[in-house]
Amino acid sequence: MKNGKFNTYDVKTTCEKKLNIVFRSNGEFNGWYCLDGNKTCRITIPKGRKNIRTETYKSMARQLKLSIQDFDELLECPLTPEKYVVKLRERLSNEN
Amino acid sequence: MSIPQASTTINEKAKFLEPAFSPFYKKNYDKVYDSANAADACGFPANCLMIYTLKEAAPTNSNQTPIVVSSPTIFKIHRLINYEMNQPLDIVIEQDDDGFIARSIDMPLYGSGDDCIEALTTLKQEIESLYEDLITDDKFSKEWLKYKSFLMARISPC
Repeated sequence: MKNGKFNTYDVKTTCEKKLNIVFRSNGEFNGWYCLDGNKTCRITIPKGRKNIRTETYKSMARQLKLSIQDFDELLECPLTPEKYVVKLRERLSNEN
Repeated sequence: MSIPQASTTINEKAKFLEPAFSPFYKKNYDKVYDSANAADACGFPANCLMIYTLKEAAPTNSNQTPIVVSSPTIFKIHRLINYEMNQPLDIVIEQDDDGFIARSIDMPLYGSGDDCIEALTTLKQEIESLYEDLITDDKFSKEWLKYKSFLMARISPC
């Protein structure tokens, strides 16, 4: 788990650039990932450029339906938007 | 059992709180408290959550409400910030490095904070924010439509 390597701003920027998530600012930043026109994942990112605590990092990964390793890769770049869609579809089909 | 008065010491109040175990939660966690009932019973305002563990005595020489969570602890929240609730929601509060995280058991929501109260308040804001998102339209995956039904059954608009 590479939560020590990224801060909350990094996560928000990655979600915006790679997943086209548009964030709204309430108490925290909230954004929806849309798949096939439906809002499918909702991620919450604490405001500011804070270090990410362990459980918070895990929770953000879970919100995107990613394993910790895949979430690491999303932030580090190897996980492309296309690969994310494939993983998300796999996860959703496993859940159904 | 009589309700403790405001002058009751913290330890006496802690003794008053009764853990409300359920078989499922008991299997997974050490302690379950009904936070709102506990706060009501101790005469604290509704938005003031006391978090105790009975095994760990709260400090008696402090004027501040003690916040002690040593392991993942399940609470029922009966109130949000701007909305009333018809049924309580189960949440878990646990240590998260140097802070705390409050997570919904039923939905993928969390709130983080430097202390339990901040984490809980953030989670309440998250629940309200999600509710407001969900009532705007129905363009959600099946999973989120289920959460919509779940929340609409529990939240009463003010």
